[in-house]
Amino acid sequence: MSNPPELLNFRAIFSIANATRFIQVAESLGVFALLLIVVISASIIAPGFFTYTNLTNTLIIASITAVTGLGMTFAIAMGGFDLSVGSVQVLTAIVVTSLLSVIDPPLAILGALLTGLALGLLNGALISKLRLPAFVVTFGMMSIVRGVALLVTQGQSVMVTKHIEFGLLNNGKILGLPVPFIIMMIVFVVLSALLKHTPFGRHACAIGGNRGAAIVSGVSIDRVTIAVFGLVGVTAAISGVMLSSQLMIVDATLGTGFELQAITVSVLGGTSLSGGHGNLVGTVFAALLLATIASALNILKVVSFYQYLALGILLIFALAIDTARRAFIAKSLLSRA
Amino acid sequence: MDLSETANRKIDGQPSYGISLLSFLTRYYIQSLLVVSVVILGAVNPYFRTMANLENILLQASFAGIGAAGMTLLIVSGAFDLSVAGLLGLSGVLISELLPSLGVVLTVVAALSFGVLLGLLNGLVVTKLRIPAFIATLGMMNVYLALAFIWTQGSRVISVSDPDFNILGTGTLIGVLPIPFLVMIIAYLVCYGILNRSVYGRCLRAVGSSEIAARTAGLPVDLIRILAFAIVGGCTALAGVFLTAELSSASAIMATGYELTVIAVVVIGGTSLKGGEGTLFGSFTGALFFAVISSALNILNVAAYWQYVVTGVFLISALGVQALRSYILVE
Amino acid sequence: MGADQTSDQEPILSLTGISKQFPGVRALDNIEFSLLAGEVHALMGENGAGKSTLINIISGLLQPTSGKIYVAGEEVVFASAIQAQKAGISTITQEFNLVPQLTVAENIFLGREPTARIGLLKWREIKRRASEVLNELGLNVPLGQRVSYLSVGDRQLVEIAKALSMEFRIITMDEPTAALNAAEVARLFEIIEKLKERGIAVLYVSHRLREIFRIADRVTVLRDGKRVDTRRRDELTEDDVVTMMLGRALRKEATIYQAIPLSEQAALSVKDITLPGFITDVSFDLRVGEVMGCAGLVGSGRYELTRALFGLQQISGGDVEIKGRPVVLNSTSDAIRHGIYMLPEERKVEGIFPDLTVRENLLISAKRLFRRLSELLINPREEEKQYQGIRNSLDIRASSSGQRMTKLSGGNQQKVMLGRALMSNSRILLLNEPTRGVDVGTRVEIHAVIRKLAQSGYSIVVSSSDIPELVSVSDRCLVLSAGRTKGLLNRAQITEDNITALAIGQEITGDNR
Repeated sequence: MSNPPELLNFRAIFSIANATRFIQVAESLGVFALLLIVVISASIIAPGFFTYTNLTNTLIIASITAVTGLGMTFAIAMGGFDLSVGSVQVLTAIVVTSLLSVIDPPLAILGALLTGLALGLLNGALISKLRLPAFVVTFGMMSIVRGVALLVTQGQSVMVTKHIEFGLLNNGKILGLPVPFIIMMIVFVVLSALLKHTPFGRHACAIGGNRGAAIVSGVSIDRVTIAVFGLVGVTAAISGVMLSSQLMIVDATLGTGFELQAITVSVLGGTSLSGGHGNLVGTVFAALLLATIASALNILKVVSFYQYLALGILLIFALAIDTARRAFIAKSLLSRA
Repeated sequence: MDLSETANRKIDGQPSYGISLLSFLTRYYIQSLLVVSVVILGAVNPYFRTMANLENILLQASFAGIGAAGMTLLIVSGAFDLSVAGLLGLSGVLISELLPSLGVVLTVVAALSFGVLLGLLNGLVVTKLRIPAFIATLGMMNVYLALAFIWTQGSRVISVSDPDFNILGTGTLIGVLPIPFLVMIIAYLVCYGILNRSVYGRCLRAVGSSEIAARTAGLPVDLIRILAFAIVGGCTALAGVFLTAELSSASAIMATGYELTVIAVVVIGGTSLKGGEGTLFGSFTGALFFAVISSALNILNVAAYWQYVVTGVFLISALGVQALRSYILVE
Repeated sequence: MGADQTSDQEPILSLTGISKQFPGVRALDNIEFSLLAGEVHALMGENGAGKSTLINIISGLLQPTSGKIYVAGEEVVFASAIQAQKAGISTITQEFNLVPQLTVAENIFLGREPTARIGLLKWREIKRRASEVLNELGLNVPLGQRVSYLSVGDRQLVEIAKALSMEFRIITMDEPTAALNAAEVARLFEIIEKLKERGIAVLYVSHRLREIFRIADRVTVLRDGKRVDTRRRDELTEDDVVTMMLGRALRKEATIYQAIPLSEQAALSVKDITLPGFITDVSFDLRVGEVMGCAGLVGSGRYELTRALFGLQQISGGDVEIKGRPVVLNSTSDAIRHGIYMLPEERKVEGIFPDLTVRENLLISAKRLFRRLSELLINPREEEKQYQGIRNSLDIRASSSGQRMTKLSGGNQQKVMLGRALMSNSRILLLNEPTRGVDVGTRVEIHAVIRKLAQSGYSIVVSSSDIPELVSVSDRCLVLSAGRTKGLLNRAQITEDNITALAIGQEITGDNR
């Protein structure tokens, strides 16, 4: 039963690198394959899809969704989720737009990010300190924040008048890639490092995988919960800033259904709602997938309502696959054991 | 046997008065809240005390209230339905299409059947595809909304002007009790009977208490769940009938935010989201309470946008009270 | 009672005057207890004797109402489980404290991961230290493997590895062998020996007398919240321990079994049924009025067999016949319709409805939903009568039928579960672990009930890991090993040794088929 230590070590290094990553890659591979198929089909069916302008636009839209999706993936890995991200996005978009008329862009952006952070921390506090269920708390906050957005704007639109250069955040390019995409990649790298290579990320997964084990191991559930929701709030704020830069004119009716998109890309990307792990790569692919589908449908002049329909059906499809996958794993484990 | 006595030892002494009052308040807090708010508002504002206002409150309460009756049963079984806003809109649109050709009675029957059918669809998606209820119904919400949009070619508001139909929304008994409110009372009585006096209701509570135990005990869990969703669909469509009648129009977004209000009503009424037990009286009171608050906001000329904030705050506070209540029970 | 006099060593853990008062119940009364470094100390007692409370106090999950705790001579107060851990006390429970989605290495270091400056994990160090500790235990599992892919026995060892790596001085194990097969139990005991060599004290809580006598150095028995005695294991016999636990001598179970004439007709006939991954080609006949024991280690397919016969899992090959007619059992509705009912192994997880009353728990399977239109509503009076009937025949102790199920003791809950099976109008009962978590006195009562039921015409399968129980109640005994029938013993052949031998895969001499 005892192996020579050297062999075990070699296997250990090999295994850690491969075992977990293999599963995640396999999960992402599915979405990636789907993405390729859709992109190829779109290029064939929809004339004008594979143009520089259209691809850029698609990439930008995907990035806005992906940023919050990545945050949502983190939260789902912890076993929670945030239904208020749509409202937070619109509120922070309004905040940054309004602030631009009085202060410089960097400060305005900071103001929006702090708003998102504060709202996220509030969610986290209500959920952890008061032990209220995440679903209903964020559901209630969704309504409250939306109400605040409506009150602040009194139903009117807010426009970026001074500091027009703010639009560069959306239109600018670095090394030929749109700035929003770069932002998304930065968020991706940071969150990946956090999730997989810091105790914080491992603790979040532990809470999602087996809360009791996490408590007993000394993980501070409250602190991690609050921090994760704060993180989600920040990503929602980043999306809000990106949205504002894209549209240059915002009102309180934007962002409805955004939380659905964020959850969809997380689940479609391979993150299971049961918690314990998060597939960030998959989320990015799924966001690209969604944006591609929307873009193709737009070009084909399919009415936007069908896109709503498609989104709803796609979510259910993704969830059904998640369930099937878990059942399959359970079954194959059984026959192995 | 020594051990059995351990199980039976009663709690020594009576609880102190402090705990009693607190537990009474947390148990009947929504009823207390309702009474207190009515008294205060009635004292402060003369219009609030009028018959017209009372009638309006009862009417407004019935829209969310009827939906909440079904939702209470579903939540007791451990699931939620977030698609009700879309379901209601779609039923409303259906009513507007059928009314000219089918007349009132047949249209109402068709609408209710349609609601039940959509509820069954929700139930099937949740049970057969094994997707968590709240997220499956979130997706279905989009589907229903989209279908309604497509049908009405984009948010078009369809007018519904059949006096025989509209009377359902505007008519009253003894001049004060709106018809929708009377139907709401009936709906609650029926749902109460189902939950507490029927075998099915016990099965609902069992499934909510422990789904795995329910399966192992041989209960048809999927069927029980699907029926609960169907009940929600029917109740929602019923509310849709009255809402369409009252508004004399229908559109895809006629009930935006409905799911929030209905779930808030159920939660604030005292039903626990974990399932296994629930209170229909609580949901009934909760619906009235929300209507009172809405009315107050209107009368006090507070912007309609505050509605969102208030509903959300109440929802979260209601959860806090529930958490407090279970904390007290444990101590 | 009084101070423990069996050793001169300075104890590593010492409890003096520990009492725990709950509203209306004195769970522990002035307990004196000590644990020596490097010993295996068994804690025994019936349910309700206070074992769990004592363990919880030691682990820091509960605070004593009075008394003091000393670790290595220093007084300590544990306000939380974490504080107990910091003092060097680790608790291994039946619900593992591992995160399935994390790898073995990540689990071992959960909560105390070594980090580099920026806050990133030091993987190399983690791998090194984790493999050191796994090597010590002889555990051959890749560090990068997700825990969800490990067997139950391996998972337990990862937990022990975790405890080892945290340099605990005291390890508490609560029913550690409940889900292990014989090989895994042997491995666990080897490891416990290694822990002893390291000077670690092991507090071992178990109902299984045989194991206690294999592994323990000293035994402490609790009864009704008081310590009865602490003695060295080699000074005790099994009967001594049982007497201490009960306060009286145990009625020998052999006197309970009374042979009854069995009818020749098979109530249930199972031919060559297969459940892929669990059972292969199992056959047996269950006669009317017979109690068929079903023995086998964890993984032998016992539980899956009963689940399949109840329609919870699909049989892929073979036939099932009831009273000679072939039946299909694709769902629980099918099974119930044919008069079969099953009781699950773990009543806490898959048996009771915590939010429902005792009466509702009892009658939940009494009426099939929507079977008859006349049975849509509940008839409270009729149900109360049914409840009283069962309460009397099974002697259930509950303050009323409307009491919450969770307020009953384990033994009474199990009786309610048994009642549920009786009220299901099924004549073929599949009982899994009918006396799990039940105290010795109630156990004997339940066995008597099972025999009585058989006498009145019920056909019962008792699937159990408790071999003496099978010897007590069975007319015949089916023994499964790795999903196959290893033997079908008739009454004369039913002995503990025969069953054990067949269950672990050996042959037995003489007629065994």
